[in-house]
Amino acid sequence: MDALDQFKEKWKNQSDSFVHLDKAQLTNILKRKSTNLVKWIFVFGLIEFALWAFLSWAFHDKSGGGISESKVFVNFFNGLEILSYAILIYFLFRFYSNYKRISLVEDTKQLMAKIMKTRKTVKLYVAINIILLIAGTIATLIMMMNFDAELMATVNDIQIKQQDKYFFARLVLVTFAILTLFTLGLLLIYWLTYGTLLRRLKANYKLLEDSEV
Amino acid sequence: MNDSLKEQFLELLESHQNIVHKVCRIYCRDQASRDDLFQEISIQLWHAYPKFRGESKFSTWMYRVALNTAITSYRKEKRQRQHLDIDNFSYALKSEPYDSTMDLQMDALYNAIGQLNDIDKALVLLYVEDNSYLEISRTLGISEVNARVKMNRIKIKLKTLINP
Repeated sequence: MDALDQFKEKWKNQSDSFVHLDKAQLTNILKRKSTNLVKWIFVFGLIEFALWAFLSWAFHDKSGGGISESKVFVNFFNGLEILSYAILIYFLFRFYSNYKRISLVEDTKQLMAKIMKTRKTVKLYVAINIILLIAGTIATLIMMMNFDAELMATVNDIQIKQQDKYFFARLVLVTFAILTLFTLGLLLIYWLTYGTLLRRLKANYKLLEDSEV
Repeated sequence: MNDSLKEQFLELLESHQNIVHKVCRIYCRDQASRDDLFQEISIQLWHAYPKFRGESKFSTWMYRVALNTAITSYRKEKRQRQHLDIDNFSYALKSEPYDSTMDLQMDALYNAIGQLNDIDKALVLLYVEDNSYLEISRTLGISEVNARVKMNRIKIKLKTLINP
């Protein structure tokens, strides 16, 4: 008889050591909030939705009377805003349907495969957000150079007056430095939220995958 | 949700609660984490219950949901319990005597099981609960041969963990 079989014997006799909870206590437990993983992924998605919506509202408000009234500019920013909302709504829908589809009654491997699919959705969402941020900034710079005559005139003026040939170049560099910092910050936040939630799950999923010889 | 459904569920949960206790005991080493997991499993069972069709035994279904919840739960041991239980369901207070009455060898084995990964813990639990390899393989979604191979590896692993 090996050690595990000895353990089995003891294991079977332990039932008396459990506290028996009555229905009232169980009812109380059921009133509590679940800490379910997929639910949290969905909740993070909702928080992000609110956050991006707030940021875009805040910036929109400020730039209203701002740098340029050019039609191309306005159209461009409106387009960008609609695009980012469309992406958010699409991903919220995906998060929600992932959340709904996952059932704990399935076998463990199938369940985890579905959660990993949720993980893929999250990854794609993060990637698209970052690409959109970088592309948006680059596009804004190009638009400024081509369509914002007033701003470019001011820049030229500064370059001539202060004899600073590289003023614009430095402006672009600073923009990219801020962009890089912001992207790194964003990645850190994602790593701390989704990353923390999913790291252990990924390890467990790998164990089930590897077990198929 | 429907009151009579809830009543029915509570009755089943009350009579089968040892299954949940056992899963918590395998997955968590301290009582606070066990309480958390017990709560989470109960909630997930209740969420899943309306879809329980009685195709399998209630206990089999319960094992599946409980194990899946334990495996996919992201905070089994890491968090320090900080809040107090205001509504005071004091089921946490008992259940330690088990550890103290165990002889040293069992204690060592218990610790060794604690060091296994989440999937291996599930296998151990299903094994000591007398499930066949077919049932184990169905619960975890791996082949029967694999369940057997894995179980043998676990036995070897446990042996090395106990006698390093």
